[in-house]
Amino acid sequence: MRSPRSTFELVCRLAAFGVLGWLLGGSVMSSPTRRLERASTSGIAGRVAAWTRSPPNVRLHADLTTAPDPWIVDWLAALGHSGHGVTWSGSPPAVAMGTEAVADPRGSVRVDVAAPAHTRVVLRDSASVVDSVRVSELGATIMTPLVVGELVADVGGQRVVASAPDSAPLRAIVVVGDASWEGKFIVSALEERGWPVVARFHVAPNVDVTQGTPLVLDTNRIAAVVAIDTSVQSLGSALEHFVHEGGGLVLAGAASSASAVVSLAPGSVGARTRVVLRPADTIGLGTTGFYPVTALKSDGVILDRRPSGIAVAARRIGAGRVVQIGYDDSWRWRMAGGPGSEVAYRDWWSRVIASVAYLPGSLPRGAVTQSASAPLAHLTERLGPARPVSADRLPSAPIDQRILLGLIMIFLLMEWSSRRLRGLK
Amino acid sequence: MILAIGLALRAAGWGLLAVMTLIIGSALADLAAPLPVATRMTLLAIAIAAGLVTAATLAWRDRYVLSLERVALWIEERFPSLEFALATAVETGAPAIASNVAPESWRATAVRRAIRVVRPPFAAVLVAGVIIFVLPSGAVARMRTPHRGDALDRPSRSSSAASRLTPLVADITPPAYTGQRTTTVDEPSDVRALVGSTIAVRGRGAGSGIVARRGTDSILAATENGRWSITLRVDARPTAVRIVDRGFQRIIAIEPVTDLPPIVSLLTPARDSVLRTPMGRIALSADASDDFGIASAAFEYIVSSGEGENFKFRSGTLGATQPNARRTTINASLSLESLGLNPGDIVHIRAVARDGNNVSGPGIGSSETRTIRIARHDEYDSVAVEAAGPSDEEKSVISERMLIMLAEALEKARPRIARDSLVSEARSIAADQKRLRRTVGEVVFTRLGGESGEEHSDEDSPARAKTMQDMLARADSATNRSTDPIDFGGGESPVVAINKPLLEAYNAMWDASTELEIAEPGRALPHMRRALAAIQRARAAERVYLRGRPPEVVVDVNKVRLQGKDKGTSSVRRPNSAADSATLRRIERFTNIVELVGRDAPAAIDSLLILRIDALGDAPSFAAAIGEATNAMRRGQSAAATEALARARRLLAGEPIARDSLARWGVVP
Amino acid sequence: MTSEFVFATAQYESGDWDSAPLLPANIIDTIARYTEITVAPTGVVVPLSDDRMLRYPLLYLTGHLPVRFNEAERRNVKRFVDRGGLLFIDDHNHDIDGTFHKTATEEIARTIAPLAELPNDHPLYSAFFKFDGPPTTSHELNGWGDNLVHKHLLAVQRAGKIAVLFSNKDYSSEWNYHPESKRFLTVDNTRFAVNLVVYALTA
Repeated sequence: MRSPRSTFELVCRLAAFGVLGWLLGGSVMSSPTRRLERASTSGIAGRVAAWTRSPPNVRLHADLTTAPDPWIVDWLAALGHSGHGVTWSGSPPAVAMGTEAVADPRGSVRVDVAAPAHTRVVLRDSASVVDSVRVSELGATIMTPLVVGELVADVGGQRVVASAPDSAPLRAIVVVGDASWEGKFIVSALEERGWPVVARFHVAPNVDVTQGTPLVLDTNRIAAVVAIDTSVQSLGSALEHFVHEGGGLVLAGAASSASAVVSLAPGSVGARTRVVLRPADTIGLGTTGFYPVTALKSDGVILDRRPSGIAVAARRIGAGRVVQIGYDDSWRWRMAGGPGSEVAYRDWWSRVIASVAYLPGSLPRGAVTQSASAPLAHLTERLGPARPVSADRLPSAPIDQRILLGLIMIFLLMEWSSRRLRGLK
Repeated sequence: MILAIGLALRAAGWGLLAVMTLIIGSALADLAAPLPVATRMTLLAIAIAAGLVTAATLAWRDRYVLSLERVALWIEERFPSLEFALATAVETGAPAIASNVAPESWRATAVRRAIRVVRPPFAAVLVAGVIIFVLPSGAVARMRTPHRGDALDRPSRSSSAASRLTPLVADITPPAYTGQRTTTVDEPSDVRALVGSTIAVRGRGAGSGIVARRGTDSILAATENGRWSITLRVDARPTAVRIVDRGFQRIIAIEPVTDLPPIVSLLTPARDSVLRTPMGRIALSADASDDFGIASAAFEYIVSSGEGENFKFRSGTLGATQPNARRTTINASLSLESLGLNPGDIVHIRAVARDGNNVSGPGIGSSETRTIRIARHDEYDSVAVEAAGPSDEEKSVISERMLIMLAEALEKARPRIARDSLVSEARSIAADQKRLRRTVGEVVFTRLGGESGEEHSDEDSPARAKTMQDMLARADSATNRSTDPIDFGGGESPVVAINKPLLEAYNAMWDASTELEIAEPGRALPHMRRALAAIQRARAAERVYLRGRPPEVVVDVNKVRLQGKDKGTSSVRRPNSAADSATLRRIERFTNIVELVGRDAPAAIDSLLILRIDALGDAPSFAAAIGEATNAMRRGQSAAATEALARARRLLAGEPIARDSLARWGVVP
Repeated sequence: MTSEFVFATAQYESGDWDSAPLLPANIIDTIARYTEITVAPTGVVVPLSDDRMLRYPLLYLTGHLPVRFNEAERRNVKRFVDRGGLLFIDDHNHDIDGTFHKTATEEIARTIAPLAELPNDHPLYSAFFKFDGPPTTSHELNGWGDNLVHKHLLAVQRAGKIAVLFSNKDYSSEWNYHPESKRFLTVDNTRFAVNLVVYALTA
């Protein structure tokens, strides 16, 4: 009959061998279900390297609140190709960003960010924050006069990157009209902004004041035509051809009533609104009245609406664009407006020109890579749609081998200690 | 006495030792890492205070030596043979008790004791003195007399290959006329100085090979006493100076400060005047102030005589002074008789001050000009209104015709607007109507020699004329003229003939105001139209211009259109240069510099400094933002630097335009 | 408010700003005779101290007496020029040693910049009619004022465009007559005004 001591020693030996057998068996046999590794948005950047060293039977799953950087997505895709099952779940926001050069001597850039409603878009570049806006509908548009380095939009934690496009090549702006303050100050504003201007001011029969080479409306040389009044009639059918080819046309004041442009204008010219101006009133854009746009054509777009009517409307004609502006004395804003009005006037007219100016079709749009500028699309393209991991397929967690080795050592130690301590009084 | 001297010397010695110890410690700390001037001054003050406190504490502790009783006891303790005779003699005040005691042995003991107490502190002082002697002289001097510019005195441990541009000191000497002293700046990077100042940049070592580049100019360094120096002059334009020593470089931005001209205010006379006769004296008084000092100040007058196309002018000065002070008041008295004025003459008076700027020419400041006119003989006999400069009220008066248009527009908008808006707008028109009514009133009442009272009477005052006849009678009686008709229809006097329509207009305006006050523009309009018709009749009567306008000739443009015999020729317009050409270049530079920040921050800081200097003249706000960014970057405050750069970019390139939805069309807001 | 050209005379406090009351109508008549520029049939008078002066980008200023701007006038003149206006000043004394010239040039130098001679080949002299320089006036030829025929006008230019034009030639006297009297003249002596207005409207 065994003594309790020897029984104890036997049990320890059997336990040690049992654990050793478990270890041997585990290393030889494959597990019936694959192991799963998980990581969240915040930790995945640090886990991909470790995942790369894991055996192919390990499944990899990412729980994402925002789409990770493109290099992480590409890495996961590579792991998937190497035999790992890679899945992801979560609801990263659907965000995309595009940049476009604006026809502007300053080199302004237009940034469109598609984002869910009510999210906040913060646009940065390498220098600082550019601007921020809360989206009301499908996204936001920010026009920035200066971009340093890359553009990064932060939308609810989701980061989108795009590079600034190259500047749009400048072509000349043609201004035609009777000699007037409006023509003078429009040309001054455009030139001060850096636009090359070709001008023709009518003074008397056969007497004009001109600047630049004779007018040949060609989109290779001319970006847009600004008509101050009905004297644009003299350009005839060449103007329509120019617009169809992509040129821009700005019809200011009552210019839209000229027969040569009636078919191009977004609408008709209404009776000029009359405003009683007090001596102390500050003059701003439109405060001195305007020619409202009436009978807006079906494809016309309203850009500026005032209580007295539509002040600015636009329309596409072929490859070109036409803007009808009811203001015929915007120069008063520059001369008699509040502080900074001359700069505001200049900037406004530059934006009007930018809205219609011809831009070559091959102009680079500035996206760095689609992967960076549309992260969710990139994620879905590389890893497929989101697939949550079901609970019943979760395997049990394996026991750490160090624990098992430790148990073996403990059992053997206890057995050895018992034998050594026999006969100890 | 011997003991007292010894103990006093001991206290002084320990006090001196405390000072020397602290100075040695500070000098050693300064050798390890340069201490700012303020810190060294503080340490010096602490050292001196510590020395004084130490000496005072010890002196206080040893004050017993001044007590005869204590000294006597001390001697008794060492000479028991005295058997308290000395102490008794001191206590009783009877020196005879100790007359047979020989003091020579006490003296020796006291001397020994004094030497013993003085020995340790002075030994320590000696040791401290040796240490101070061993220390580099510059180190101790910087602690002993800390001042700006002593960075150069700090001992140098660098090799000959090290930069001679660190440490750097600049002495700024303003022009002599300012009377200001030279100031010193340590490690200058941004120097603001008056135009005409000289800046002496100094460093350690010989000057050979050190050159300052400013634009296309190069200035070589001079050497004196082991120090190099370069002298620069501050011009009117901001510049950046590069000081180059082999492969090392320092940039110093020089921002000129312009000496502003004096500010002069004419106190008296306070307003323009019209005088009937050129008699009397007019007191003249003016204040002048200047940033550095007024060299001279005086009153200047110009007398214009004549009319039509024939004018003669005389000018002179009064009350000239040379105050040589930053603020002054000048006084004088102008005798009108001395000017020999005639009716119709005009005297223009102003105060002028000049500062002492002999660099760019004296700055001249002048006050507003007051006009004193001598009335012509017929001036007060006519209702002719001189087309003089507008009064403050006239500038804000709008015409009756315009008021009618405003009232008509309000009446038309009445169904659509809220009651509050209607009332507010109607009252605004009523206020303008009242102003115009006052103008009419002044023309009628004041010019006729009457009091200004009618307009200023309370609405319900019994003084107010209630009927047209009453008003006319008052106007008539105010003129002192006969009412016999001269050449006017209806038997009216010329005064009444001209002013009757104005009076009618005046009354109609009053009625109109009343209706407008209660927000009834529709009911006010008939009164307003009546007033307009009356004004037009009054204008047709004679030269009465409510706003001082000359008679107008109306050109029949359509009739004369293109009737000219000569024909013009087409011409060519020259393009304007881009107002933004400098801005465009600046934008490009700013972009490049910001991109450099991440790669080479010190180079970016230098570039920002130069950009700031370039922008100082025409874009001071942008330059200020760049300056803030540069300072923040030097201090390692990246958040502040980013914020300053964000502000700078907006000032430079304009504000971005953001829309909360995707723009369907272009960028027109 | 329409965008026609309105001839504006500047009213200032210190002197006889209205010394040429018929000049505006004469110039308006001239503009209509030779051009198709839409022009208002009457001129306006606008105080320099009033912000409304900014509504008239071409301003005419003349007089015989000293010109001393007050603070409001100086501020407005500076704003006017900064925003692109053209101020035409004519010395009605025709006297380069006279008080109007000295004070007006001082005020312009203090407010804007010192005046400099305008070259006689400036585009102003070919803007409509061709002139070899500023036309001589009868007052100059009659020895009026300073007894000189001034060969140049003075100007302050901004970016190559005239911002202030100063005349010592006494165009105020030359042009100060009723437009009906033009029929008595062999040569219309107001033609240079057309150049001035066309230049202002197109430069």
